[in-house]
Amino acid sequence: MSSKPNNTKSKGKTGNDREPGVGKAPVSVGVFVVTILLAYWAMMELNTRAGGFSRYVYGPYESYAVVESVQPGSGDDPIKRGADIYRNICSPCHQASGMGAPGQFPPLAGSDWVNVEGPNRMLRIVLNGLGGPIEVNGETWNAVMPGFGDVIVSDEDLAAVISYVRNSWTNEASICTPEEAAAVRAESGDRGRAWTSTELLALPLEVQ
Amino acid sequence: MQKGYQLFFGILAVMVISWLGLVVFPTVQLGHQSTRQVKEIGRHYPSEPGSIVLNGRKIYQQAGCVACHTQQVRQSGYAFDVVLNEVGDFPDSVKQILVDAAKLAGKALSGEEASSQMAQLPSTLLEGVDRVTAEGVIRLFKDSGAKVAANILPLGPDIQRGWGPRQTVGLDYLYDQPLLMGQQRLGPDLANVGARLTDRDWHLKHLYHPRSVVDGSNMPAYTYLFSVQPIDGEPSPDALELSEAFSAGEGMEVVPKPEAHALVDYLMSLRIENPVFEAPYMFTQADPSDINNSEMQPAQ
Ligand code: HEC
Ligand code: HEC
Repeated sequence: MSSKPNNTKSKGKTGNDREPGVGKAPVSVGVFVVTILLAYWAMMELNTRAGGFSRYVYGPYESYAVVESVQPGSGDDPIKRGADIYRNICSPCHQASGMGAPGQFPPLAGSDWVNVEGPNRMLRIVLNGLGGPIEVNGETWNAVMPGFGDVIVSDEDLAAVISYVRNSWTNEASICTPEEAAAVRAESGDRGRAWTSTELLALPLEVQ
Repeated sequence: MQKGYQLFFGILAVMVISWLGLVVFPTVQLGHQSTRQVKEIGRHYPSEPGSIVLNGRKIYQQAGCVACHTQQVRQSGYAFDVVLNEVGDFPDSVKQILVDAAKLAGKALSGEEASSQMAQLPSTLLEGVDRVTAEGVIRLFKDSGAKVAANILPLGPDIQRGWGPRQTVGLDYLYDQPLLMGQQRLGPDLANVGARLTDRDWHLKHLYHPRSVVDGSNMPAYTYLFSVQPIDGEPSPDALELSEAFSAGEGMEVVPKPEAHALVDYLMSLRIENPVFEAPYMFTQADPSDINNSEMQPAQ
């Protein structure tokens, strides 16, 4: 027999005199099963009803895409729709004026990454993000921009925000079509890491 | 004590998980917001409160208004209004589609009625329909050249009571420090009171004696925000115009103290009538005459 105190049979003491303790009583399998099922149910509930934990999604809207699609006045004019998306997603960094912030966020207004023939490179920047040194209008920036591929879920919205940036402030470039957005998303949507400017410069300007 | 360390780590884990879930994660999710340009009102929202409003806010806190009044409008669902905005170049086919669309929604519409709908734009074709119906109807107009839009219509008991056109969201509380959201409703919600009840005199009288303007109100009277003083020659321009039953007596007048004015300024600053991205609704510039008509009676 071991000399350790045993909480089921205490030495000498009986009933209420015994110090309460924790033992290793077996737990029935049912409790585990129920716990796992509850956890599963909770996860599913979060997955379907938490709106992707976006700060822009409140009940009764199910997801960012739904909130975006019910915006009054959106849907008909892609530039107007793009302006809404830009205001909500890009403007905290690149500013409403498109001028960015010195030393932190490069400008989009007049940028030589934006005012080019095709939206191929810009689509990839917005989808997967951008990191490492990049030269914009002769100035070098070194920061990280996160990707927004899983925030801007619809190809129409992605095309709209790109079109808006390419045609706002002093920028003049072609409209990005939802087809172009879909093609680039299919190609690099699940790339999983940010682009670097050297990688992008090796790519063609126009969507192939 | 047996298994003390298990107890310790168990409690620690529970605390850490709650802290992560109740403090850290919400901060990551909702924190660090800033004001936003709202195109419908042409300025940034929310705007920073001025010093008078902040004083009024302090009085709101001290008077304990938050014990009976919330400042949060909830929304339980949404529907759509289908609106014809422009007829375009082919009025005849649009007319035919209007008649067909009415059939789809289970209504009969004669050609004449369709013409009158087309004469007064924008005209609401369907009210409060679900998304599928709205999109179905809009699809009918796809190639007709007409401009038809589905305007979102927030729904819910609070919105039905007229307490606000949309639900409140995190952004609305950007300058609300400490938060006066409230959790009990003995009186109506005040999130949009500045837009709902715009008459300053009404508010002053209501604060001086709620029952002087709302029969049977059980809101307490805040008489200490007013001074009752003898009329010195001419009555003060500021004095409340109270009815017989509530007047301060012969030769006396009731004059609001600066605190009362500040509190009313604060109430006036409470408005959520502009849409925000998170809580969209179709905003139409209200007709000023609409606001002043007192149809929106204070709740019983
Ligand atoms: C979190 C801040 C942040 C947000 C939000 C953001 N960006 Fe960026 N963006 C950056 C940074 C930082 C860089 C520079 C990255 C580098 O130097 O490696 C950048 C670079 C760019 C560039 C290439 C440089 C230039 O100026 O032409 C483009 C294009 C761009 N962003 C577009 C967008 C668009 C469109 C959005 C909205 C969908 C957006 N960004 C949202 C931070 C941000
Ligand atoms: C004991 C609870 C209680 C407290 C405390 C209270 N109220 Fe009220 N309030 C009510 C009730 C009940 C009503 C509805 C009847 C009425 O209009 O008088 C009301 C109505 C109102 C209304 C009219 C709103 C509407 O839509 O009709 C305003 C404005 C208001 N209160 C402001 C205040 C302010 C400001 C304070 C703090 C100085 C305050 N209340 C404190 C109970 C309270």
